[in-house]
Amino acid sequence: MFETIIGLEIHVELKTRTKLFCGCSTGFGDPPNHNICPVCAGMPGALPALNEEAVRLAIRAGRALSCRINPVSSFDRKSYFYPDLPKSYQITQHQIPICEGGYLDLEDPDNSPEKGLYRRIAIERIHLEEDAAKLIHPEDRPVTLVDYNRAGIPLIEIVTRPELTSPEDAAAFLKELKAILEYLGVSDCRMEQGSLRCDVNISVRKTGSRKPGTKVEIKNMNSFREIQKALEYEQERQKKLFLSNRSHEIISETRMWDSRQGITKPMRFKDEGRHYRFFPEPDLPPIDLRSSRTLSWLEENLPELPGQKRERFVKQYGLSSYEAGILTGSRALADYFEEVTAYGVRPGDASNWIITELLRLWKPSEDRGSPVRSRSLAQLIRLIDEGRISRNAAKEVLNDMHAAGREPMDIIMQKNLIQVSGQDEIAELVEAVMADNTDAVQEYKAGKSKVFGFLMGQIMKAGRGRVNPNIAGKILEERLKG
Amino acid sequence: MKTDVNTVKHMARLAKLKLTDQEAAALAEDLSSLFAELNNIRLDETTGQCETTAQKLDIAQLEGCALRKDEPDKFPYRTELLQSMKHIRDDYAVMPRALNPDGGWDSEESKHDE
Amino acid sequence: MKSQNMMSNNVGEMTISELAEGYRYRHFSIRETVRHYLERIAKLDEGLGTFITVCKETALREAEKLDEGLSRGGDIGLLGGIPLVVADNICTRGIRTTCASRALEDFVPSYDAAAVERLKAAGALIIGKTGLNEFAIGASTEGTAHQAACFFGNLRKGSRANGDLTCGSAAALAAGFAPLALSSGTRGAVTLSAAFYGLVGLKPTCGAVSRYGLIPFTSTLDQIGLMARDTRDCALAFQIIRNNVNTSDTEELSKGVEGLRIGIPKELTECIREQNQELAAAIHKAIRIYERLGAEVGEMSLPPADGCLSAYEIIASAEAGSNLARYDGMHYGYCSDMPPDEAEHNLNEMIIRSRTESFGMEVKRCIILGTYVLSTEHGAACLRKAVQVRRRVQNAWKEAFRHCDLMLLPVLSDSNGFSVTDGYAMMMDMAGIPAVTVPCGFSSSALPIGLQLAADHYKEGRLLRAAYSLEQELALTGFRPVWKEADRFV
Repeated sequence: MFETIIGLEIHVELKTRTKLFCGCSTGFGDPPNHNICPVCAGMPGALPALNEEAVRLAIRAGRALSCRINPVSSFDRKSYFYPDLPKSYQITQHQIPICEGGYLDLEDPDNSPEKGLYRRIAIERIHLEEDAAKLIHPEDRPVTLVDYNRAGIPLIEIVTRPELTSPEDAAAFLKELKAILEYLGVSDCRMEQGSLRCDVNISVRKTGSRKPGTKVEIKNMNSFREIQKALEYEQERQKKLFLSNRSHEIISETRMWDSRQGITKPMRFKDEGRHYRFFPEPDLPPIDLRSSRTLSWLEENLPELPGQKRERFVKQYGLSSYEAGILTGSRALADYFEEVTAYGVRPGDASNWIITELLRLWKPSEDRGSPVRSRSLAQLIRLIDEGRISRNAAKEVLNDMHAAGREPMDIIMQKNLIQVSGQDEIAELVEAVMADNTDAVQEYKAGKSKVFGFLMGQIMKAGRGRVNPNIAGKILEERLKG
Repeated sequence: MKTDVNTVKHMARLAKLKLTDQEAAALAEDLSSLFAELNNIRLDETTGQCETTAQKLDIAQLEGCALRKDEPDKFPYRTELLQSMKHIRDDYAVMPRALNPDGGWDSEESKHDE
Repeated sequence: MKSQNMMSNNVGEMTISELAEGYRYRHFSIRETVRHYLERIAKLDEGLGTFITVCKETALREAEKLDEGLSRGGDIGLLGGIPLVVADNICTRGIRTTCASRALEDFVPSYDAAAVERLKAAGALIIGKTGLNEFAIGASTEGTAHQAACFFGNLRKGSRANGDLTCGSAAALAAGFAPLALSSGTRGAVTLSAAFYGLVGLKPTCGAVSRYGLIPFTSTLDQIGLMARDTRDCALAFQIIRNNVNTSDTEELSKGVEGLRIGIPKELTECIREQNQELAAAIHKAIRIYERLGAEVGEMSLPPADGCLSAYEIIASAEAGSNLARYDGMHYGYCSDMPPDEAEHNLNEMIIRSRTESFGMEVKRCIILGTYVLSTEHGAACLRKAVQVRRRVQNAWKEAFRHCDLMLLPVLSDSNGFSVTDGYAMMMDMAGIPAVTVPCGFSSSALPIGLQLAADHYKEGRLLRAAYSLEQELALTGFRPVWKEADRFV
């Protein structure tokens, strides 16, 4: 048997208006080299000036992850020559990061008491640093194009201890972390826009072996799914090498994830030997949090975090932990759920409709609110409750509400979907169906109770889905017995 | 501590400079005597973290001390800034292709720095 | 026209106050003044090489604008129409800034250094960019890549042991090309050069003037400084460029030195007594003046720090190696002749070639030493030690300033004494303290003798006051032999 150990390094773009060391905008998707100045373009003589909001957000992240916040931290230069690095060094925190020694609790999927409800993943450090420029490699020419818009955008790098034991854990960790950072307003965490990036390292060893496994780093994954797949692939690759007595072929290296082929490949160049020549940044004083204004950042109220919210949802609304987990996956979604219940909808119904129906139509995020207003969904659910519309019809209505942004009643009236609940009306229908299906009626009376379902189906069909099935069922039963 | 020619050449590679043998030899000698001089200094304290920077200087009030408010301040001379760069095409800075197909580049430094 | 003649005769000698008065009373226009300076530069600078770039058109254009403002009765600022020279390692928007290096041979910044911006806003006009050692590194001009930039300094030919000081700005002022200079001041580049050329030079406290736009060789040992013909000018300009404007230094100037305690390092005076009688006499005279004005002058011990030079070099190189890494040919500045479209996969080669061709040997030495310091165990140990030396230097000065308000340091410029003076200059850089030099006499061969005053952090006002008092008592102004010597090159 084998043990897998995984560590993560996560880069997260902070949600500030300006860059880490200059007043340039951090806007995403602007034309190339639009948001640049001498500082972020690395011009000679330009000097950095630290953005206080970046410091505040880093502290928020650190506190939410139970880190120790260093009262004094400092910046260092990490030197290497590369086109994306206009100063030929990156300003980062090497010696003394702003946050150290935190953890994140992962809910155990099995939830078994003997294992404990949570597994605690230790976080080694969180440090502030500047992003590099974006490089584009056009296919038709042997050149590299540089866009400095991204250069100098504030990042935090979150480094876990190697304590994750499976690819699923790694994915779960990232999901939870993303939710936390979104809740805090620290970052958008959009992997597709590069505002969250993750490098992973993984080592596999035989269970019980004292020797630590060889650490392999994997880069170039663009989604949590890919990260999990890359780790699964790499785990299998290393196990196979062990099993075929070729474990010596596992070397400490950086591998690239090839999403098209679904495999990891060694990078042709090795950068282990790279000297970063870390050097205390002489142009920036240390971050000193002992002044009265910065001290207040250490005491700011943090919003309710996903874990806390999850627990509350289970307790307060009687939801399963599975449901609570989904509903607290983003702050926007959790807020939406609570809004719907605030309109008087039973939490279980709200949860059901949101999870099974609404989430097919909406991927929640900070700036993409639900296409269906919470009040409208509450109204729709109430209409079902009151028996004025069938569940199936309601699904159709929800689709239309999403597509056209209209109110449920408008759609129901327009499409004539109001449920038929009048006793007489339904009795008429039931009798007509019974008359058309005398064979079935006979069979039922002869003891074949299964035919009941068939007859119900015929009634619903005749009523074009608008018939209240509860009432129709009762009447049918009466008539068959009668 | 002697600094030999190989060390000097290695440093030159890290700094992306080429030195002739003559230059390297002269530098090696030069640096050796510098280190020898430093070696002769007696200091009472011998420990302490590296603090080359302004960090632990008593020189207070460095200009960057005050944190900057997160308020956009657009640089007014963007066009001039782009003009002061080397090769600009369609507002992109253009330079020779850096990457080999794997995303890295074959560099001298990686070959020599084990 | 009387004023015309007066001006063409002595424009080179004029102080800021004199020029400003001439403008105010319309004795001469800004434009004709600037033209006179430009003519003087055209006539004399070929032999001196103090300038890397002369800003003829822009200076004349600016002058015209200011004249217009003046004729409309507008306020043209405290330095309205005052020609300014700026060392070529200080960024000037739209004006080539080379650092006397091939690495930046055609670099035109899109931004002004903070100090330049302030002086321009006060009405100063940049007449040219002056030479320096490549990136202000080292104490000699030998072996620099951009030789053409480094011919200045003939003004004091033979007066220095190791080639000339690195400051083209000082030479430019001495030659009468402008009344005010902005220059970087590491290793005495401002204060000592000012002393050699009979000028007033001020190196402010590290942090008192924004370094933004000063292209760094070292980061923590350098500072932007000023040079002018007299203390009043220097104080005026300092008031404009300093970071926190809460006191007016020009007003304070005449407050005198009564009650100030002035210390003289006895290690230095011993050195002078043995080596330079003329300097000793001039210093003695200055001491007597200060005593007469009510200051208390006494000798105290402040020995040159052990290992100061090597510590300075190690710290400066570590910073320089990192600061100069950005000159890689990729982003701006000199790029080896490999057009990007043809240089497939050759980026690494391009960087190496660009850097190797860009830098002179002195700079390369500095970068390699810096790289060694930052990438080897032994280097790191050296750096730790150097930092301790710096700490010790800081403590020594701190201690000294507990016993005195000012330190008075004679400036030795001859071949035997210079290393001592250089050593003290490096110590002051390490301590980050402010210093001012002021002329205090002339040698028998009519070369200026300078005196340096140092004070604790942010005590520039006190320094300038002491310099001003001495200047007033000595009344040397009006006797400016240096630029006349320069005329010999015509």
